[in-house]
Amino acid sequence: MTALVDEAYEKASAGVGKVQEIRIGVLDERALQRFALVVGHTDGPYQDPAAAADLGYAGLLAAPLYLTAVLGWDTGPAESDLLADGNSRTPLGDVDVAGLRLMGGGQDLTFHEPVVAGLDVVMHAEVTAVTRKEGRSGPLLVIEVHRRYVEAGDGRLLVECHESFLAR
Amino acid sequence: MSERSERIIDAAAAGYPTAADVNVGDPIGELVVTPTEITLFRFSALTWNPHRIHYDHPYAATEGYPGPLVQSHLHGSYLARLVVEWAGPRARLRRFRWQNRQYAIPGDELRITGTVTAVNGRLVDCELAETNQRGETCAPGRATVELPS
Repeated sequence: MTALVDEAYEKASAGVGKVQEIRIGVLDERALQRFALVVGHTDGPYQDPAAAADLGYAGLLAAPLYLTAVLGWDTGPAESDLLADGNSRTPLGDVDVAGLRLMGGGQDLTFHEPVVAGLDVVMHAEVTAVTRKEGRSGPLLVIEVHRRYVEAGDGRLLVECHESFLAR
Repeated sequence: MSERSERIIDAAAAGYPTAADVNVGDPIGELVVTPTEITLFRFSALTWNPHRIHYDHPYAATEGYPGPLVQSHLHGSYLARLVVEWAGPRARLRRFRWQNRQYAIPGDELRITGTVTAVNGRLVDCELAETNQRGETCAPGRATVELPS
């Protein structure tokens, strides 16, 4: 286990500072409504486009964590490319974590503009730090990721997210 | 499978607050949520999260857990929900952060509470906590919300 964590530390550290651009695409009203429903926003601007318009929004309002809770925006990976526990082999895209499992430790979000249906969004993701620690059940990595969600056309910043992952 | 139940206690009982209404130390209401396996399944599906620990009970047991685990971002979503439901539709959430401290499983009763910690003009800071039925803190958090004047 220690060797694997050491390997992951070396590989992930090599990706620190590298910014990946990921196309999210046009935010779909139905997807926003479904996410909002599951977390308990059952009415108002999260479900009703007219209610959102009455409040001055340009589209149905996304629940606060919609953008930053979705783990993958592309089609894949195929099931054959997943680890036995279901996790992606590449949870941080191009940054190699050598097959370690990641668990979300929390997020720090700054909301610059409302996130609404119809926006065309691009995510810029960067691993900003990798730290090796000794946990109660053995060594682990703390991986800090900074994501910026911007409007694809003019690049205006919508949401920033700092997230920490524990990797074992 | 336990039935999902949730209710808002005291949230916006007297209408939504304006910045002038709010004082340090004010509670912002309470949200009680009991996520089920269906909740977790749908949240995983919507977030394209294939990790078996969130929907596969036998797999979760192999990692020593008594059930599938509530997702990190679902804990966060419940905390954020309390804030925006208290603040009302004309408010804007400006900043929100939380940490995952203690796991939760379907059937756990998660109680989300918050208190105003600072008022700076229209910006109101709140301290948040999600606790389980044993009183353990699953997820502490903080939020800054801009209230209407």
